[in-house]
Amino acid sequence: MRQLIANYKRHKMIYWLTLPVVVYFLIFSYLPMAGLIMAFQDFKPSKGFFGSEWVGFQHFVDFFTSPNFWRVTRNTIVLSLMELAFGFPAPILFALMLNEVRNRLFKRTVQTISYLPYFLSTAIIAGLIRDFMSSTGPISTTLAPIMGKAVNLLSVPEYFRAIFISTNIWQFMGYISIIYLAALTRVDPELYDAARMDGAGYWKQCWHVTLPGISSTIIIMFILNMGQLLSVNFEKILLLYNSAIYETADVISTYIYRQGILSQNYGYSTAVGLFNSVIAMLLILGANYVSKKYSETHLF
Amino acid sequence: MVKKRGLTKIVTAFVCGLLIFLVTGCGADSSSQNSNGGSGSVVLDNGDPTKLRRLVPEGQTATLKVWRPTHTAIGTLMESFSDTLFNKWMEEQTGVKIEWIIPVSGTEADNLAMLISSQEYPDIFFDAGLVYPTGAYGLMKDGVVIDVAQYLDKLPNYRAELERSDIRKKESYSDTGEMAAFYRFMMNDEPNSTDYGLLIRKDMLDKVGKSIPETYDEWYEVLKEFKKAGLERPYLLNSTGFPKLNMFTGGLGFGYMNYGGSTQPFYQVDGKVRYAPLEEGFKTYLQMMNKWYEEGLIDQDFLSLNSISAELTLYFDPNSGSYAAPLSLADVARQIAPDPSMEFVSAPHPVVNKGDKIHIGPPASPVFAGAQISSKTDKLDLALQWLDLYYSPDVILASNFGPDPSYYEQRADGSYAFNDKVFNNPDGFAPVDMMMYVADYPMVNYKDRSIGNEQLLGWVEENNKINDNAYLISSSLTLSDEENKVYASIMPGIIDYVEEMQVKYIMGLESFDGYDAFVQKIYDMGIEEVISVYQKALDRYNSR
Repeated sequence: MRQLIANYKRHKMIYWLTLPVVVYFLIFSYLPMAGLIMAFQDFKPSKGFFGSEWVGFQHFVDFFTSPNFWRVTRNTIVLSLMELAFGFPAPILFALMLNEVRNRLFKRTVQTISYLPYFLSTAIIAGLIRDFMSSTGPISTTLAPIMGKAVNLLSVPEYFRAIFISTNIWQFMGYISIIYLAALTRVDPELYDAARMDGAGYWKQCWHVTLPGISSTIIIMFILNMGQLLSVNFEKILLLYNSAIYETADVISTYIYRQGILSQNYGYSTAVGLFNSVIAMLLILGANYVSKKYSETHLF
Repeated sequence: MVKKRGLTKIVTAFVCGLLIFLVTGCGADSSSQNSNGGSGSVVLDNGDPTKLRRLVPEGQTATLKVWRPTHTAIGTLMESFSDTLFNKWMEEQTGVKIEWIIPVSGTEADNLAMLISSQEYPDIFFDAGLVYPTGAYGLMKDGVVIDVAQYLDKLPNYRAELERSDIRKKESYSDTGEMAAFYRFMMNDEPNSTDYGLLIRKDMLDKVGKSIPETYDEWYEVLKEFKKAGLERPYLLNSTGFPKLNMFTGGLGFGYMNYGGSTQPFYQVDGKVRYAPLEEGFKTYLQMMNKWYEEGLIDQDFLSLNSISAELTLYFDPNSGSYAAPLSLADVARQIAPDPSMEFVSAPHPVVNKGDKIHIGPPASPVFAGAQISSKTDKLDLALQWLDLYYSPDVILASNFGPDPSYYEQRADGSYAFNDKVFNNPDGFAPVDMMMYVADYPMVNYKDRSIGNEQLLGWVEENNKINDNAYLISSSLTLSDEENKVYASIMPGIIDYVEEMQVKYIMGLESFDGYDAFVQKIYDMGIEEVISVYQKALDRYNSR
């Protein structure tokens, strides 16, 4: 406690500066957690928190035994892992490549163009995708000779994952690569000179100098990403999917959305949301622990 | 070290206490029941309660808050419902001002849910039952609105209209004698005609030399000709695979409105509840649609036809041949379609054999839930009297056609109709907006007052002639709490499953060899329990 007060006296302004943020999180993140009680109730808005019937873990049991549980969980996990496997390295590679470009005008142009899609809202992107993938859209007509006939690409379950991941990469790659580009500028150029003198070619330089140089950034981004893993961009899936591709497109959040709309079952949706959050938390803690053990970088 | 641990405990306890205190504080007023008895306003006791009269002493005004979904006229023709001629007239006559609470179009259900959970109710709800999952009756069960049956003594006009016929009483009272709303009636107890139907391109029919199809086989022939003549989309199908409001499928003997929410996808044959996916007609329909899809007669992108904007884009596209839609669109098409040769006519409900009758179509009822008074209002007497006036003979005509006689005329047979100022407005406003501007929310409705022209009336009559609506289940069926629980725990899963499978069958992603397994799975999911529960509710309804 004494240390806290001493610290405060030395860095008064920092504490005051953070105060609004702390209050924000208290009010909007911690306080609403009390609402999680809905997950254990048969919540009816007219009865409120204290009048609604208590059902304990019934919602969780209902969810785990529901007919589509395995399918939606599988889809959620597969989409998240694919996002991790393809969507995570993409900005890094892009930053590495961009870093090598000497022509400043070209570099700036490519950067600006690449991070513009980030600012488009999900609804606009989904509209674009639906137009492009429709049976009269440019992509289907181009692929028609190969596939036999022009087909609405969003009606084929097998294609959904590819469409989803690739459009995600297209939208976010440019913006996220900014972080890595910033990290790349901090790598000491003398290290490159030293490596070249030791005879390292381009790839060896990359592997032994560049990547280790930005490794701490990569690890932090990775841990943060783990938290997002299970919330697979719900809005985008909702706007793109249809009943023909539920097999690959239906994820936990969209499934619960449909159940919720049909029965306005707030308790059930909260329970599943809670389930989602607990898994996400375990993932972050796990990733943090592993990185603490094997490197010097960790979030907490 | 010990001091530090102790401090942590104290801080934790304090934060927990703070959280609990704040949560409790927020829920404090949830249990207070507001008294009724009009403590907030005095209702003038001036003369005959059946007549239109001032409800508020001279020189004063009272305000009622009314929740109501929006209308296309708002923002185009007028700023708020208070600007309608009818409402202005009512305000002058009664001295009651209305404050309208209007949710943004499309967000009615969410807005209502939030309003209810915030515990700050308006005084009156209009049409809330349409967007509440358990309907108007559910709003009463959940304690949001009052049971009107208990106040009938104070409602001479409403009571007079209610007791005029048996069907009105049957539809308005619940199985247990409660009444969730002020119900809206049809003048002659005939259901209002719906103008939803099937539109088909007349110019294309002429081009391929065919007449309007009446049977499913004729439809197939016509659509094939359309395709040969170069139409990309001879028939537009809804994204669920089924046209809305039981259109097109009635001829195969089943009704199926698979929307979820408060619409329950059952129909009845001779008092026995049936669920369409279990019946032969359903399979026939899916096979027919599959065949049409494979041959390119159905819009290949039908999966994206799931919003009004998508529909409007395609409805007036020269490549569209036919679809289910409000018949009045035929007039609209004439005005705004890019290709002036496009012309639509109404096709009757298709049947299997020429001359067959159908037994189900768009839901039509002579009685529907209208206004509900909130359980927390402190102006109960005022609200009761105000709503009662809607049923008074002085008000009925004005609410249907407006207080200004220059907008309507009386025909030779004594019936009334809007005139050209409404249907062919010189300033170009749409008839439906003009009607809202002039009249408003009639509680006792004149039949077909909104159908403007002869042609439309003729088409609607044609549809009415073939359909006797014998398979419809009344929307004022009520389920008890336990029955609702059974329904809510089993049905959403089944609806979801069937919706997914029906699209796959139409698109050919699932082969019909596995159809029996599909039906079996529905049984396994517990449909029989739901049907039996629903059957009990239907029996109760029939014995009212």
